[in-house]
Amino acid sequence: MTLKIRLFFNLLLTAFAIGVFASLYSSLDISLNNTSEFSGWVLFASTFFLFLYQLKKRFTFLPLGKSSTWLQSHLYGGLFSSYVFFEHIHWQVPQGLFEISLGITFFMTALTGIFGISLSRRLSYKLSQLDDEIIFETIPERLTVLREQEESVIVNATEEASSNTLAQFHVNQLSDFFDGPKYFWRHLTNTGKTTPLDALKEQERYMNETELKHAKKLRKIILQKEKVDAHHALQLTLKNWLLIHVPLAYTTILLLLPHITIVYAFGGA
Amino acid sequence: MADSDLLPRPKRWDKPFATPESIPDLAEVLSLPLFEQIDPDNFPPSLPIFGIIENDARIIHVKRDEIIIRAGDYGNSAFLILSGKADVVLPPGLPEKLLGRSDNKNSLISKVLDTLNLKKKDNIAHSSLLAVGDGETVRTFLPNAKNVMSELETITLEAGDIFGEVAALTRAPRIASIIAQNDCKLLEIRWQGLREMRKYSPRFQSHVDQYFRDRNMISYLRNIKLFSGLDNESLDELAKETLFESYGEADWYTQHEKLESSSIEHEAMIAAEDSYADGVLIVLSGFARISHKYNNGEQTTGFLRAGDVFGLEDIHQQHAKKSSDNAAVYGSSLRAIGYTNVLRIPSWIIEETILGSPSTDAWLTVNQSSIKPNELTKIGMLEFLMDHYYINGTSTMMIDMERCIRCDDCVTACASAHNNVPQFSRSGEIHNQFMIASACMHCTDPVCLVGCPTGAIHRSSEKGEVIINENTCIGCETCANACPYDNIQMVTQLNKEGLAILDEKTHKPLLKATKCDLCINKLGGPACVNACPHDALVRVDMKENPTLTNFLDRHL
Repeated sequence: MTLKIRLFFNLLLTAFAIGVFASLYSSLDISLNNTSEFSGWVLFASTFFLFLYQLKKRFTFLPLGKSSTWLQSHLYGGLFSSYVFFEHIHWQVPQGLFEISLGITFFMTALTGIFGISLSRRLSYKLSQLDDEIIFETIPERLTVLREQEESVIVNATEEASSNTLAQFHVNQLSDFFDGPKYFWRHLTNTGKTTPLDALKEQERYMNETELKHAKKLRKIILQKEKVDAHHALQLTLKNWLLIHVPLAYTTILLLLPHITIVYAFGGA
Repeated sequence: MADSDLLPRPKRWDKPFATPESIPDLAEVLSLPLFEQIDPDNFPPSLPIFGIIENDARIIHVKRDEIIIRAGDYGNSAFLILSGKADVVLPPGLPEKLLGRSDNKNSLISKVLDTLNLKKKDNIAHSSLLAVGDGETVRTFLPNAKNVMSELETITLEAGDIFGEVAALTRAPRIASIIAQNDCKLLEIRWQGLREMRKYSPRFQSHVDQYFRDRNMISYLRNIKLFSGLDNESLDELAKETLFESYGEADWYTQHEKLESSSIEHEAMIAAEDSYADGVLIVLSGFARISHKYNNGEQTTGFLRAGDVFGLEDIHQQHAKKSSDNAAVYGSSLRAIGYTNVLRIPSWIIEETILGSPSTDAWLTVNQSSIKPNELTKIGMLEFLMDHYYINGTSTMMIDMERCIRCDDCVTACASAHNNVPQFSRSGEIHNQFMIASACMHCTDPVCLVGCPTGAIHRSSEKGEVIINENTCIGCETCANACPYDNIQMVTQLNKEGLAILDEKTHKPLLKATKCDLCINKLGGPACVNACPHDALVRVDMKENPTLTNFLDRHL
């Protein structure tokens, strides 16, 4: 099954689930039953199901099925829950501070989830287009090696060329550039044009033959550094977006429990 | 310019098989019945028979009850008994535990305990075998041999008998265990020497071929699906006419070790496209490349490995035309990748015995698609897999880097399933967006199994996964050094406090070989596959075109 067919099939299944829920909801509404209680419990059950994925990830050693199947269920379960959520709040802004907080956390959880999955697809594709494959944990080591290579080229160029064009360029630009991962947003969003490579090109008009020879080497090192930086920016984002989604999900679950208690204590249900 | 280092060109016999103490006595060897009719003039000056005996053979002395060959092991040499006797253990053979292997048939409770990491594990080797020596010279003995052997059916081999040559030449698993009945003197000949002797000595060749025909051929042919409908008489006839042929010079893995990729120009031609199809070819061992002429080059369209059949479709098509005007020709070329053994079954007997039968037609229907260009050829994936010898894999870890979010959930899951020691690294060669990760591929031709002194690394008896028995691994590194893909790591053994366990004599850390075991003892299958949230990681058998092409095609 291709990924597109799977997407279509899963969307169809979700639409069917939403359809079943909507018709039940509508029939309850027509018969003047308590639709809020119905949608509330469906929402609680589906939210709890979404939360189970987090638990599954914590127990990787248990034979609980493929994580990818869980994620697919999580994604489309999330879509279903979102629809149920909007029905539950009657497509209006909730009233009261507590209800608004719960509504916002749920909404933000769903939003960060959608944002996260689209980010995962986009950034993993971008990573695959970079030539090298770099393991995130090896980035500091690679940066150190590149910095040492750059410094060695600068020292050799200064000694051999008896000129300090490259040394000055190092002090003004490269020293900071090689100090650690740089240009996070540029690599993440493909915006911003000036790069150390452009700056090096600008400097070439001031270099003599020997310096130009070393500038060629420097160019290769800068290109490698750019690649490492790109890996850092993309992989860091891929690793960290969950740091927003997961705490929001926990908060939603924590707020849900008092919400149900309050509803049953004071709602006359 | 700096001066280049000058070195003499390495030669084949720079490293003889024997040590100075174990060089065979030429006169003694050549007086043996198997060698006495060998004509030295048949051998080329560069490969004299004397050179082969001196450099590709050695004398070994084995003690009573010593295990010379273990059933299921892979070895690359044959043995000729010079003095003494040895027992061949007939099926069902010695119990797995006595051969130093793990008991793979774990109970459900054992699997549950292992999955929950509650199974007690020992770090220090405690073999059920009696192991003597160190590293490569380790010898293993059958404990309580007298009682064990008395309960088994055996055949006794005596001076002058040779054993292990077919397994060595075809790199098939040894079919039986052989135990020294008393102290024996053996001439061990490595496979390269066997190959030359077979090539240049018709008597030796006929001996090996006859041996193969007598002992192995019928059962081998019977296991091939194509011949499953034949009765014993037809199989006998087929076996009588079948030729055993070898192609290529060096083993594929020696080329791989030299970091040379497989190259079609250097591969020996087994059957040329458009040439007369004189027979159906069955790969006995090694690999073969199928290719078509494409403009001024050759396009790889498939590969064959042990048990695969070539040429039947061409002979069938010509036979179906019922025309005697044109003889059948091969529709594509077949070349040996490295060193390949094939069986050639003449066309006439194929036409007489199997063509036209429903089982053959069914076989052709199923197997036709495998040699037609598909997604693998379109994106150059097949060439990539062959150039890097990844076609060897039966459970190769392939990662779609366009889907992989580098979360390392696969590595974490692997570590938690294996005492916090991940058994693979998420790195490796990439073609298009597909990475072949550094994880054991559970090869069709597992060269890591050759030379393990205790038999700790072996194929599981259930599904054939290549696994290591921790209890009998002595950390000699033979398997890790042999793996052409560097997928076996040596890991320091730790005590409960997390400190390295040291050898009491050398005070160096005790090591054990570790590699992916496909989570064979866990419930639910490989943890890496189960843990990947984005369907980016699969384990594929390179011969299973549908699984592989589905994975490659799914972005469409």
